[in-house]
Amino acid sequence: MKFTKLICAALAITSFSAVADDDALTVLALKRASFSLEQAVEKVTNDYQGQIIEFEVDDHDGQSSYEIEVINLQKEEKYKLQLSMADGAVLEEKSRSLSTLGFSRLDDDEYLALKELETSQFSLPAAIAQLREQYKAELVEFELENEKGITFYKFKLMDQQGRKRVIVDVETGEMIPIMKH
Amino acid sequence: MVMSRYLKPSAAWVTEWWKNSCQASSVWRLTRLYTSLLLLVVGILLVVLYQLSVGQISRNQSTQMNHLALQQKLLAEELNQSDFIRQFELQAGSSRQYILSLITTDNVYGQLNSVPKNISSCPDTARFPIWLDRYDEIRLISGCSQVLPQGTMVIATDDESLYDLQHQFISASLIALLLALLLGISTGLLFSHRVLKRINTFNSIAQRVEAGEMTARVPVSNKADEYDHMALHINTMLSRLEDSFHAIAGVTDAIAHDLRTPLGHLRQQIEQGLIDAHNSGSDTQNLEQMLSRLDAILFTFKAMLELTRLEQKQQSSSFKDVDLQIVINDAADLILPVIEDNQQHLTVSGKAGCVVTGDATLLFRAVYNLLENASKYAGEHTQIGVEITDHGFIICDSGPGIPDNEKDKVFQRLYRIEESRSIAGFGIGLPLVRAIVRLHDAQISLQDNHPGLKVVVNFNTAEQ
Repeated sequence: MKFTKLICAALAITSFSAVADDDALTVLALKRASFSLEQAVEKVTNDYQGQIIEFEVDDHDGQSSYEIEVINLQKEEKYKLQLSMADGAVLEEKSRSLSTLGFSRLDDDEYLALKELETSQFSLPAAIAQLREQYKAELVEFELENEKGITFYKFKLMDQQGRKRVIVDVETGEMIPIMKH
Repeated sequence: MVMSRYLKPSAAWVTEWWKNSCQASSVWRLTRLYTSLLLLVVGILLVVLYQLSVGQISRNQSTQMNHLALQQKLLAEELNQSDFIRQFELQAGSSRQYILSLITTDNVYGQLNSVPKNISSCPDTARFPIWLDRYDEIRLISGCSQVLPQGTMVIATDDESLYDLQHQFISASLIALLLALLLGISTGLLFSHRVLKRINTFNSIAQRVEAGEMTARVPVSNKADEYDHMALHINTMLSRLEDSFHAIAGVTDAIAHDLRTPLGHLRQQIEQGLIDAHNSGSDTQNLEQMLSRLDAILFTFKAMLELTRLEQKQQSSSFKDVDLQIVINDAADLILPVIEDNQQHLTVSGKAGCVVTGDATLLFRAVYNLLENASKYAGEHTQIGVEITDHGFIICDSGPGIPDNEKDKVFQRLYRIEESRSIAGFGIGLPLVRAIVRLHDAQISLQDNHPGLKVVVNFNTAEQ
């Protein structure tokens, strides 16, 4: 009994420290990256003529990479890309058609979010620049979402204090207040 | 293609229905009134229900929020910076219902980390989104901001469930109103139709009586309601009317019948007297005049009895196909000497081949009577014309005609127009013609010939 408890505790601690380590590693990788997040966003936006719906830091065959998902509504294609942090080379590209037999694979929320992003004045590079300016932290993740009729980007930032969430309303370009507890 | 094939008849059906429902105006009016009353009642109920439930809660909430804002404002004026912030944090921490935040230039107190954009200042509230870190979701809350000396205060409350309730209430209300509308229209139409159906039976019976069917009676149901009472009254009235009609016809018939025999005897006596006077060589002029007057009286009585017989007669199975041309030619031949005597001119025109089912003798009587009337009343040097049409015949003259207000009355028994009293006659001719025409299921109408009279007789085309 005691032994199992011990194992559980050990596992919990290791997994926790692994997460903490993971975050630290991510921040380290981002700091070292010679091809910046901004460059990656610009490259992907230009090359694929689409809207970035998800971004995170990943590991591709031992090499740090940006994992970016882009949707091109005109072509009805969704791309999942791995970009090298070193030189911005496309390490992997998976594309998938958004419609099968005329039926859209996107659910209504996703579709609404993309439509609103298209019609709004929102600029992702500008939002990223503002966040960097305001929080002086590394951007490790972001994602486009739509909930209750509100389209927003959910950013995850990381600095010495730890993780931080910032929600930016796509329609107004303003930050949505966060309730802590 | 398939759709359009079905679309056309259904559209036609809908327009037909709409036209009918507009024409049957009382049904439509009743239904509209009933439906709008129903909608009004449901609407009032829903509004009252809303005000007492959701409206009450939301009013309470905004009052409380305004109270809180006012309280904090007063405290901000009374207390110094640190005391105020201490009590504010205490308040923010303890309040479960309200989300309180104070954003100063260099710090943030309370639950929110920033002032939401496009928030309105108290007491007006606005809905804005916040991010709940604990549940990892967006929540729409409503609140307002208040500017204090210490900074900007935000007071908000999570009314998402109330908001959802409000929306559900509204959609449920709309469904309820729609159902009430459907129910109102369907039941309204149903009830109005049932009421109108009974009124329509009254109308159709009245029409039949108007057309001369004195035996028609309104059906009486066993519900014993107002309609049945009305039906009973109308039936009693009709029975009395029928009795009076019979009585009048009976009296004239009885007089005619009873006087015929004594008058016959009188005629025999006068004839005898005439023979005697002839033999004795005395003056017979007086007796001859008496005889001709008596003959005229006897003729009238005969005609009256015949009229009654004709009016009571039903369409007989002895009717045969009759060519109107032959009948009219015969009548014209017979009347020609009279017309020539009156220095009038007769023309017969129209195509042959109008065959009707009927009694040739009676039809001859009718045509002859009409021609005789024309000749009698049109005056000298006038034109009399007979035209055979597809459905009957027209007899017209260029005489003085009949004024519009007299046109119906001339068909009554023994009725005579004031101006024509100088001309010999008893007012039996036209009633007799009408009785014959009716017996043949035909219509007779008097029209203006500009100048003169035009008698149009139309037989039922189906019988041809």
